[in-house]
Amino acid sequence: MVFEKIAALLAEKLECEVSTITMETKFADLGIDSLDVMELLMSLEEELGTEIEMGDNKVETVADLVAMIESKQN
Amino acid sequence: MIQNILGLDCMTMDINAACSAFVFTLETAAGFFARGKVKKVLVIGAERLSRIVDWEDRSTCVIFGDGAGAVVLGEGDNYLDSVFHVKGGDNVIDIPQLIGKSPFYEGEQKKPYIHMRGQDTFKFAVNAICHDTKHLLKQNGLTFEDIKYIVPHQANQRIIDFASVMLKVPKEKFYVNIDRYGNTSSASIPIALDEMNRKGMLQKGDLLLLPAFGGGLASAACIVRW
Repeated sequence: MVFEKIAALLAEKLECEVSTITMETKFADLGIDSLDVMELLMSLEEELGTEIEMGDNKVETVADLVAMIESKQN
Repeated sequence: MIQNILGLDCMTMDINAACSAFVFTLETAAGFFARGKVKKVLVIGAERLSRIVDWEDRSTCVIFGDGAGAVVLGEGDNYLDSVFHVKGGDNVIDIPQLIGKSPFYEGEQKKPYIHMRGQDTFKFAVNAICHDTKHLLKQNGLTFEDIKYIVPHQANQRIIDFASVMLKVPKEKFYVNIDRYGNTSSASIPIALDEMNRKGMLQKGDLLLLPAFGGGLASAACIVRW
């Protein structure tokens, strides 16, 4: 669920196919910088209706972001 | 010093509220007017951030600028409303004080340079703009359509761009000049207002939203009628 939302947001931002986004996709390879990741996080916060603290988590891949969000939800 | 250079003998003071200081100072001036203590107030935002930036830290030294802007305030009812939030702490934006060579200081000697956690600062700033502007509009029965321009503290183009997306307000409503001046902290809003005024962008009666945010962490926003 979280992955699908992230993939949809990335596809919209990058104007690419959702299918090109996988868990292993690296943000750097997409030209996504740290502030783009924050924008993604904040859009997700709004969609999920929940606050997500970035903290010191290293978020380099889609899987990292999914794991971080899912751990906050539990 | 400015009072001295202008040859004045009025009451003068500094107000320290980092990047939000211009709006904090407008609020302070409003208090003086409300008590009938003054007829005119000169509010200045002046910053030499080049002094407190680590010139080897690319994440900060490319952003900040030196500058000053001022407004002359008079009596009236054009300062419509304001909102302030302060969450004290230094873990997101830290500007350590210069300790000097005091033999009595036993703490850690930090470098006296601005340090920011970029992602947390971004999130705080965007949320501040969105929350504060929506709050002020709601409190005053206004919508973004009633506002001629939003003149935000010029911290970072990305902050302003994403706030525009989150608020669903067209980018054109935000005045931006950071590409030419950088982040001049408390000087950024008055510098922008002066530019807009000189360009003839502002007509008497225009409603402006001025959202500021930054070190503190503090955010401050107001609605003014030009």
